[in-house]
Amino acid sequence: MKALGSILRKAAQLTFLFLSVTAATFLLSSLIPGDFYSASRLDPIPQETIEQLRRRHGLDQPLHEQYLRWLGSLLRWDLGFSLFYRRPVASVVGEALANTLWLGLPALVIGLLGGMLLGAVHALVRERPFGYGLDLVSTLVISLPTLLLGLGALLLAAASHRFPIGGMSSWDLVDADFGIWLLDRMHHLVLPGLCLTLPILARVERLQCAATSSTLRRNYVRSAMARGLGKVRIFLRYVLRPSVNPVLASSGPLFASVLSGSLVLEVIFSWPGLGQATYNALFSRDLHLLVGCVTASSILLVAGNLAADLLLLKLDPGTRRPLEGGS
Amino acid sequence: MTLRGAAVALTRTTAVLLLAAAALSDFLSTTRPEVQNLEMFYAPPARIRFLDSEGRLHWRPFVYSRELTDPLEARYEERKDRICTLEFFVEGYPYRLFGLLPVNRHLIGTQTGEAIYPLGTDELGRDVLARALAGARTSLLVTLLGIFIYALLGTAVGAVAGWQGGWLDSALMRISEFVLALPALYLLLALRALLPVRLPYWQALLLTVGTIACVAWPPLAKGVRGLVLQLRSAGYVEAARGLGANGRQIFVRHMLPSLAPYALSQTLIAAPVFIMGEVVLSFLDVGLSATGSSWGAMLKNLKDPRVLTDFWWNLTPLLFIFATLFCLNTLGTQGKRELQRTML
Repeated sequence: MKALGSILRKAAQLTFLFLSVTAATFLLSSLIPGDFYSASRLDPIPQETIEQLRRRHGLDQPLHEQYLRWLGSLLRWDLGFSLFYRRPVASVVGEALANTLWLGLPALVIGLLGGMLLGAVHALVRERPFGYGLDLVSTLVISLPTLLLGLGALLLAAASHRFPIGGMSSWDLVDADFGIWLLDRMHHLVLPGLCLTLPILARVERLQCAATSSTLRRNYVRSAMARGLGKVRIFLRYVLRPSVNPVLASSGPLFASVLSGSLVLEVIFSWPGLGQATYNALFSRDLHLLVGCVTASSILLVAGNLAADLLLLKLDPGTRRPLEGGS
Repeated sequence: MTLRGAAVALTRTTAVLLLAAAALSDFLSTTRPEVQNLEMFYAPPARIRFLDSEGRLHWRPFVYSRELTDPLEARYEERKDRICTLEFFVEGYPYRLFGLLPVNRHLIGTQTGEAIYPLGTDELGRDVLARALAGARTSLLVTLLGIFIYALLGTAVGAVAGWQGGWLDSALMRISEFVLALPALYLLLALRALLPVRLPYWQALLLTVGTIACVAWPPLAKGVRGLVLQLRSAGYVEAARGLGANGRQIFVRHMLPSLAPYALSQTLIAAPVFIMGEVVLSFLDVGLSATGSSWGAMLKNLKDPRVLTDFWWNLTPLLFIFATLFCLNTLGTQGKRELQRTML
């Protein structure tokens, strides 16, 4: 019941968050001088036509009315119309979200699991040459931001001609069989995916290594060893299990870094994802698309944090205590 | 142990070199970072030679003067008859050393005053080395200013929330959760795009740093709030209160010394956020304007793979970024280790 209560409270917080994020985006975009029609560099259109277009898309209304209208149409799952892409925002954002997840999810999963594995092994071999090697590599990789890796990978792709230099798939494989299509997709994913994975991997590895080595010093581990339990059993059940918790607890910022990392990579590798859509929306002053993108990315972020919280609630009995007042 | 010692030595040397590059950027560069030379756009790095085309050995290094032969492909040819000898401490363009001392000596240069471009030029014929060095100064300013605002904002919000409690506490914590839930880079883009694209260097710098700090403060505030809550019930704080000390005295004399190590180490850890924030914003065209030298702005044309492969020397800032982040990360880890030692 306690868990249910905290989930309900989270849900209420999320609703509040959703409203404030969307309102803030509306407010921010109203502070930008001009709108889509004054920012577009099309051929000169007669002033009357522009006024008509503004009226049709509701850009002449005061801001709060635009916001309320947007909220109202949201209930009908209508996120508005993207003037930049000339399509409904829901379809643009849905597609972009799927593309970003295609890039981000594998990176996140491989980064988290691989980082935990490497970190745990690292803690065991800390004082040996292999451990020092891992130390050095993780320090170096953690200093390689996504932008740097992305440009390096682009240079590699362009100079070696072995990898595509951008996009998600080859244009001439639209109606190839599934196998070839998937292979082509994977080929496009390798470099940007690697650039997104490596920093996560290094960060998780360091967190996991620190957590595991502090667990190894605990008294209950020593007493388990004294009781003569097998090394593997001690490591898996007494050391690994509790040392995963602090890593999961601090994995919240990882989602944010995946999102911002994928924005940079999407711009470098012309990946048609959420970051690219936001970039286009910002520079063309496409209000509804901007709100849709920012909302989608914050929902993604919050959902990631929530998933980590729930997982932690399941794995770590210590977090199931009733919450203290205040936080 | 020796490995760690070597790492520390390496970090310190790199840090000193970077600081020197930032402080002495004008002394070390041969050309003004903002001067364009449209006859020399995308010129490759100059080859520094000792042997000339006839096989004679020169005791001083020299470069051949270059001429644009193919403006479409940006190809250059060395004029074998025009040798520019390199000299140390030559006179060049005037500048102010450390922003104060007016001097005109440069570490390396040619007697004739011809530009040598040791690391090539960019699309407008600006010296890549000079811009990278000036970019180091920009990044240093961004970091110093950024972590100052960050520490001030985070500590202030955390301390007020922890000290006052009640509705103010929950309001501040809700706000910080709200900011944490926002996708930071998307928000940064939105905030920065509000402002005019072309701004004077100083205004753009301040705004960029300010917007990053507005997004970055919540983790520090949360940590400080937790510490203040702990300290409020510490024996010596209660004793001070019992002796009639007022809130400000308690906070400044008794709490701040215990908070400072934590706040400092957290601030050090946050420093890369400011460097990368500025670089990424400039890379996406919403950071510092084209006139100010910034590592991110130098990289923004390299989104085009053709530019990247043909004019790879424009990647120079990546090396500087990597070195800076390496130093900051190592220092941050050390700071955290020190903190753990003092807290235990």
